[in-house]
Amino acid sequence: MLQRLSLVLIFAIAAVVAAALALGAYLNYGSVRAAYLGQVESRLLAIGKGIVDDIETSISFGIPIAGQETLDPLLARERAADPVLFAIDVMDREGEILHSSDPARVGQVLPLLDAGELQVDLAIINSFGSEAGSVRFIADTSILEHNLDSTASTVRAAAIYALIGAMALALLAVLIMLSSAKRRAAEAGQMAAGEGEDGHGWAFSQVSEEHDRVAGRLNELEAKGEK
Amino acid sequence: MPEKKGIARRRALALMAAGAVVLPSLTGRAQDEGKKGPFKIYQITYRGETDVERGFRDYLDQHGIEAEIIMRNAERNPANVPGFLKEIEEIKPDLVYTWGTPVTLATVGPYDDPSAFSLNGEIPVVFTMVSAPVRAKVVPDLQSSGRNLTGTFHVVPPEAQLRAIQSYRPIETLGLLYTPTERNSAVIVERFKQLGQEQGFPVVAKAFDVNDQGRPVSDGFETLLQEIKDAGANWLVYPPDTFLGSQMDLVRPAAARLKLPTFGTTELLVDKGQCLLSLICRYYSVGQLTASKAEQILVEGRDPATIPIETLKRFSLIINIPVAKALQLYPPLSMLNYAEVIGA
Amino acid sequence: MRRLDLALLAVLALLLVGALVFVSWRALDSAERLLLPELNRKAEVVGESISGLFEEAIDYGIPLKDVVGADEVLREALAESSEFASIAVRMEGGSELASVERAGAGSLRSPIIVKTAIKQGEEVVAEVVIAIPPAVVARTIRNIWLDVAIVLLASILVTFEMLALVFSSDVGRALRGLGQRLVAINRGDLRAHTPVESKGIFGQASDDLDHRLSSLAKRQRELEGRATAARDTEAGVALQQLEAKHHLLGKRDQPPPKLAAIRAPLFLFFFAEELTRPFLPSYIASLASPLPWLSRELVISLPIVLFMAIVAILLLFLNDLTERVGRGRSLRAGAVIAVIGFAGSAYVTDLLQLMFFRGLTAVGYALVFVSAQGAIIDGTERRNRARGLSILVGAIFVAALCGPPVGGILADRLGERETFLVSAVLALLAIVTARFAMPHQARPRGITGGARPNLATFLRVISKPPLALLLFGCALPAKLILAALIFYLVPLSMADSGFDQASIGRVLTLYALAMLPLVPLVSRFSDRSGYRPGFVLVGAALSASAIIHPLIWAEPWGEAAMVLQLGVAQALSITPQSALVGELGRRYLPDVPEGMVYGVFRFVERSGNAIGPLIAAWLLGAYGLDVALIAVGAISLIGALLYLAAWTVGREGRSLPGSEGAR
Repeated sequence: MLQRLSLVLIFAIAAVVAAALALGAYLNYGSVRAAYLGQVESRLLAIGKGIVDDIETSISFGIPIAGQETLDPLLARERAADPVLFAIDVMDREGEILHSSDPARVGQVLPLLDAGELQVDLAIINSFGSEAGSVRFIADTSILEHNLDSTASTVRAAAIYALIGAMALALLAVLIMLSSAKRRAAEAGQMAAGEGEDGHGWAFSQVSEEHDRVAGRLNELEAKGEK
Repeated sequence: MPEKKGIARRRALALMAAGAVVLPSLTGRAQDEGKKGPFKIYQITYRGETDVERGFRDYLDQHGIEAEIIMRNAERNPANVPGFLKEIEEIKPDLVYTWGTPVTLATVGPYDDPSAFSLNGEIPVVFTMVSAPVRAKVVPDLQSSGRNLTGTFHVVPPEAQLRAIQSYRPIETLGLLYTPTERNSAVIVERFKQLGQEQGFPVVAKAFDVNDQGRPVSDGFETLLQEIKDAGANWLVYPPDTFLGSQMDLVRPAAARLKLPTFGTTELLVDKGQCLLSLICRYYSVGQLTASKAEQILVEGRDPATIPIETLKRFSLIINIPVAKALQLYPPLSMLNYAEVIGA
Repeated sequence: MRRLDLALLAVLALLLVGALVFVSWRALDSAERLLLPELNRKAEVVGESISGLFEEAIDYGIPLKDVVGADEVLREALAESSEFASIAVRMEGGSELASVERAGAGSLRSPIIVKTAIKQGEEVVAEVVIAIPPAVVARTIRNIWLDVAIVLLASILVTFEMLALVFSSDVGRALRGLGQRLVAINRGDLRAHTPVESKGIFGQASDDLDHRLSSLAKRQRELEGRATAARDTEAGVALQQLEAKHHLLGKRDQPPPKLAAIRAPLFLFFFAEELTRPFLPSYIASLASPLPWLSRELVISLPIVLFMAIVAILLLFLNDLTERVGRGRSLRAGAVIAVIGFAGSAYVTDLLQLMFFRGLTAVGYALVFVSAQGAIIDGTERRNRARGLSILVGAIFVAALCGPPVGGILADRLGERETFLVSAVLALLAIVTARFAMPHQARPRGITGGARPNLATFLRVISKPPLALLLFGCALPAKLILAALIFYLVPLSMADSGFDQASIGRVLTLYALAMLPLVPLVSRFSDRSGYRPGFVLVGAALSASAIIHPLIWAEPWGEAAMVLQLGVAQALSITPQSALVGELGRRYLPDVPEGMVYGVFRFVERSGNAIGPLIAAWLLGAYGLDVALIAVGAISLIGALLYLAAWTVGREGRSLPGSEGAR
């Protein structure tokens, strides 16, 4: 009976603690990852703003995006300077790549990327105030994930240590609780039987005594009354 | 860029916007197939081809719109237009293009008294280079012409001009030289005076003399400039003024001698006036914008009455570096980010 | 320590917090190594863009010393990069050309310095010097801690719910029951307990104690009878004193232990629905195709409005049905329907399909809610019904607290469709646990039926101005503003400005987080002091004024402050408002059963849930976010003012609508 409870408790606690730790570790990792990606992104935005400024100025000179030949070397240079970048594309309004750090990509019409991939888009606005195209940075997620690897393994190790420690302590707590639960059951049994000790069950004995006293009194009265 | 920290973090700024743009235009592209011409476009210019027409043509080329352009020059005389209208009836072009207020009015007439051509309304018209389409009664308002007509104009609002000047060097006193007989010019000078009052700087506007025939003359312009300088002006603005433009060879060296920083308001003045700073609508860009209206009519099949009349959203800010050097008045560093620099 | 279950929970909570703090500490420690180089790179990029500008000026022949407006350029760059402490341009030779410093940065001890050269041709003529305070990474990490803390709280609460499930098992229940008995008896409280209905040594021990208690009660009753018969006042007084001290004849108002088991499936179920909270609007947006006669915003609100409307209406009608079918069975049926709804929502390809499956989920939601409520009402008596219903309220509440942040993270990491599948799985688990938690068929006792308000009752209730004003001036606007903001405006506007789902979830959870400590406090205090209308009014005023925050603070802090204040506001008004309804009902409509008055109240409230997103969507589409916020706030404010006016007039006329409690 008790053993069954211990087992149920220990299994349940193990499962729940492991799940909570896994979730917690994952969330921690997720937050760090988000902060890291945020940093990368803010840097890409800083670079991107410069490129967009250049393109917009050229447009206002009357050079259409497609004709801005200086862009390809510029994009290649920026991409080479930043190892996390997979590509920088300049696209027209309709998503066709006009210039790219990677010449092979020119001419493609990009499908929307997966949500998991880090991409930063900046709109290019022409002189009439409408969107003429966009600059898209695509970060090589494998490099980003690689940079995140050491954090991932640190978190994993910490979670495993924490799990082992927490489990050992939880086991101890369950055992202590169960052994004291046994004492409680025994105590309850004694109390119910009226043999409470150390003041436990004082209420029972107090009430019983008072009942006895009243009963005695009533007995006397009733005996008198019968006479 | 907003701060990115705390409980939240921004993802890619334009992500959603970009997604929204890409999808519809992809489908648009599919529909466009085979509908891009060839179109017949009949152009009536005021004084021959300008950058506007070049911008117009380039835009069509870049967007893969095939067009046969029939160009006619009114040679500064609106009386030539009726002849062109006859020709239009024979040729039956897909679109008529008109350059400037006189030609446009001669073609379509004011909105409250339209020409027979406009009343017929079979052929859509795009106009360009009409500096004040509402005041000239070409259209009742900029949202819609109410007829088979739309277009573009090329005026940079005086507010924007002032912002540009102020961000180069704050205005102490603003000087203006203009021709009193040119209505456009006078209106703009009034607007500058009003803005000066609102923003708290004096405006000194000097008008060219007018002779007995009511024509402006350049005599005594040096005195006018000297008066402007003596009034403490640290900027001299050249408004969009035809007579002033024609007198630039005289005015330019005089202003330079007085070390007056000059500000130009039209593309013509940039070069002719050797202005230190200019904020202008590039004729080329105006042409592109006009072509985008033509595209909406011809390719997308929109009713011209539903296409608003617009000017450019972005203007060209031009710094003349040799002039800055001569005046020892260099532009603020950040302006190099958004200005065009010439003469370097 | 007799409540061993509580002791164990406390120990586990400590262990869990300790373990999670340890993990967080390690994670953030390694984050520092990751973020620092990244920060340097950003400084390089910014430095290069500034030096490029200077080089351009040099190319134009502008002498370096004559460069105008360099400070302005640096100031802009500093404003854009919140991490930097200062940016300066130093000429070769050491003199400073320009420099800006972040206000309040002060002098830094050993800052991280990043330098970029400014060249004229090949010759270095100056350099851009960017200083980063070493604390900046620490600051980033502190902010991550804030993130982690909210989510830790959520995960600990989920853990507790799961452990509570363990303690609702047969043996656990007995252990807890025994603990409760021991604590009570040692306090001298000898009221009868609800039987634990469990075998084993704990159940046996509990039964022994119960037996002893009941024999004492029996003897008390017997002696009382004898004392009365014998007209022995002294004995009577002694017995009365005994009763006053030990409540021998009383019954504890705890709900039956078996009923507590219902909490786990309920939590799982409502948790499943709450998971969708942060991303639902943007998920709808991704499916919505523009309709010619409806704005995008209005289209997005449709599935949300549909859901709320179905729930509001079905709650009126389902009670009889679930009673006939059996609460357990109908609860499971509801969860099955919701599983189909969740799973379907994961695979839909257009808005109509989504509306269909969300509608199904709403039907399931309503069924589960009504069944659970019915099961609790069936299983309790009047004296312990409130405590019993708090099981339902508690489950919903904890779910509302944990659901949004966890759902946001899941949606970010797994995707929105996948999160719907997680919801489906959770609802499935709810079915399984419900199978164990509600094994017996509760016998209908015929006391719950008839609580459904019909049209006549509805009209009677709203024909009483004090009730009508409370309902339409306070209750409806309260839910309206809540649903408009939490279900619609906040998630949608945040998603539109590019925040990730996890951030949205964390902002949304602030609502429940604010309520958590306040609701019990308020319910005690407002009951005691009796100033219920005051609480309701202050709550409404706080709700209405919450909309100010997004108008003055930057995102997401404005939204966060608004949601937090909304939570405080609702915490203040929710309990007093509900109590007021009962109070006013008894006073103005003594012949209408209280259940019916509450039925009308809940219906009006829930209509607010449906109307809120609709109004918000229409305003957002037609006039933009600011107007939508202000209008929703104004509705709440006007309602509160109407009620205030009625209250003041009533007070002067010595007949206060709903202020009897103040006496």
